[in-house]
Amino acid sequence: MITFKDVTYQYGEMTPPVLEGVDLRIPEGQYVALIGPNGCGKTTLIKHLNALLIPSRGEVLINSMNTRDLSCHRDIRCQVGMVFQNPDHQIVGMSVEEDVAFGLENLAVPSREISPLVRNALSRVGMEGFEKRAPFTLSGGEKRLASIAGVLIMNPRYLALDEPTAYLDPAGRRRILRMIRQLHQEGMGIIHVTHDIGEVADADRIIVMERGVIIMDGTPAEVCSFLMSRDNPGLEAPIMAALMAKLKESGWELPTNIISVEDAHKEIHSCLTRLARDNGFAKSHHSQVGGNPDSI
Amino acid sequence: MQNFHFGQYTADASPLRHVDPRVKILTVVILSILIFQATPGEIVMISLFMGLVIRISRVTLKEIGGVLKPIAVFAVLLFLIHLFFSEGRDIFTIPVLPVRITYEGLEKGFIVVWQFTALVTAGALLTMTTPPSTLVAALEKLLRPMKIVRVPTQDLAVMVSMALRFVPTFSEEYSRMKTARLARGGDLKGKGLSRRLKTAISIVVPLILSAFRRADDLAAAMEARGYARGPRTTLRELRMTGTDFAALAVMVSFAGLAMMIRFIDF
Repeated sequence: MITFKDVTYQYGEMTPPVLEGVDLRIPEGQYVALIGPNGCGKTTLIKHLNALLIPSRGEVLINSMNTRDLSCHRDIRCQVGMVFQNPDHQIVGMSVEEDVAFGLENLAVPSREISPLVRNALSRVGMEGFEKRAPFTLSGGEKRLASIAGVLIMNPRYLALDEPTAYLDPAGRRRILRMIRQLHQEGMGIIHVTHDIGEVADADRIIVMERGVIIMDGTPAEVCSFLMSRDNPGLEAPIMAALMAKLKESGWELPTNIISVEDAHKEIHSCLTRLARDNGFAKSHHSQVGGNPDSI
Repeated sequence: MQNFHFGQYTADASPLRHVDPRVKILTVVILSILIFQATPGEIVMISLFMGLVIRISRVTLKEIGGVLKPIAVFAVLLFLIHLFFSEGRDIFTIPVLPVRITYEGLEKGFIVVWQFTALVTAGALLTMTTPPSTLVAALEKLLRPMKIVRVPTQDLAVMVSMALRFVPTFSEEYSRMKTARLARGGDLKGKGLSRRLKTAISIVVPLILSAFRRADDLAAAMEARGYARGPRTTLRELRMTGTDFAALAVMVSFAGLAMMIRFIDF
C-alpha cells in the first residue's frame, strides 16, 4: 500500500508549494491514472513514490516504509519502479543490455545471474535481440520499452510512469499502452501520469490534480462526468464523451461519461437496437440490411 | 561533430577485441614508457611491433589515418618548433632571421613527432578494439587497489562510463542546435574570427546548459534505480584466459628485449 499523509512539497522555502495537503492511498495491484494540466504537480507527486523527493510536510509510506528514512531508500526503489518522461535522460548504459542491467548492478546481484535476468526483462517488453544495440540507435518507442525493462528487472510491485506515451507515434503509443495493461493484468500496481484521459480508460481509478491539490478521485466514468460538468482550462473532456454529449443533444438517449471507443460503440449499438425495435423494424428487415443494427 | 569518431570502438571483428582489456591497458602503459624513452634503434623496433599489432588487430591504415588526421597540424607544429629552436650543429642558417636549422633539431623533431604519433596510435588501437563498457570495467579493476586510500574507484568508473555514453547524445544535440540555427536563417560559416567565435558560443552555451539539465535528470534516474554508495557488481566479470596471459607474456618479453637492447647500447 502507498500512503500519502497530508503531503506538502515546496522546491524552495520562498516558492509556493507544488503539492499541498495531498492525502492518497494506492493499494497493491491497482491501476491509478494521474491527470491534470501542466505544472499541477503530477511529476512532483510521483517523484515522492520512490523517495526522489521527500515531503516538506507530511509523510509518504511505501508498504509501511517511510521515505524520510534513508536506510529504506534502496528497498523503496526496488518496490516502486520509476519510468521518466524522456527516456534519453534515463538510459545510462552504452548498450541496451548494460542499461537494463544497471539496477541489478546497483543491488550487487552476482554477475553470472544478471545476463539471464536481462534477457527475461527484455523479452517481457518484447525486445528480444536488442541486447547489443546502442541506445541512441533505437526509436522513441524502443527507448521507452528499454527503460521500462530497466525498471522491471528490479521486480517492483508498483510501476510509476511519467507520460509514457509522450513524443510517440500512434503505433508506439499502442505498444506502450498494451504493455502497461499487460503488466497490470500480471498484478503490478500502475501509477500512470498523462494528459490524455482517453489512454487511461482501463484504469481502476483516475485522480485529477489542479494547482498541487487533488480535485477529483474516482472511477473513469465518475471522472468523465466531472470533467464534462465543468470548464477545465488545462484538461479536455474525453473525445468520446464529447461525441456522446452531442448525440444526446440531438435526442439520442446516451450516457456522456464514456471514455473508450469500445464503450462508445457498445452504447451506440444498444441505442440503435432500441430505436430499431421501437420503430417496428422486423427481424427479417434487419437481415435484409445486414442483420445487425450497425447497418441501419 | 556529427561524424565524431575519434578512436571510437569500431573493430567488432578484431581478434584483439577478445583480449582482456586490462592486458590492453597495461600494454599501452608499457608501450608509452618505451616510446618516451626510445633511442633511434628502439624506434625501429617499437614501430615494427606496433605495425604487427595493427596487422593482427585488423584495424585498417585508413582508420588509423582518420585518427591521426586531426592531430596532424599539432604534430607539424611540434616538428617545426624543434627544428628551428634546437641548439647544435648547423645544417643551414637564414642570414636575416635569427633562425638556425640544426642536425640535432631535425633529429629531435622527428623523434617527438614519432613519439606523439605512436602514443596516439597506441591509444586509438586500445579504444578501437575494446567496447567502452569493458574498458570502464577494466579501469575499475585496475584502480581497485586505490580503494585503500579511499579513492571511490567504482564511482570514477561509472563517471567515465557516463561520459562515454553521452558522446553520441551530445553530438546529436549539437547537430540539432546547428540545424535549428540554420532553419532560422543563421549563418554558421560567417567570415571573420570574431563572427565565427560568436556563432560557436551561441551553440556551445546552450549545449553546456542542456548538459547540466541532463546531468540533473540522469542523477535522478540513477538514484531511482538504486544507485548509491556501496557494493556494486557489473554485468560482465573480467576473467583472464590463456590467450590473455600469452598476450601479456608477449608484451613483457618485448619490453624486456627493448631494455636489453638499451643495456647492450650502453
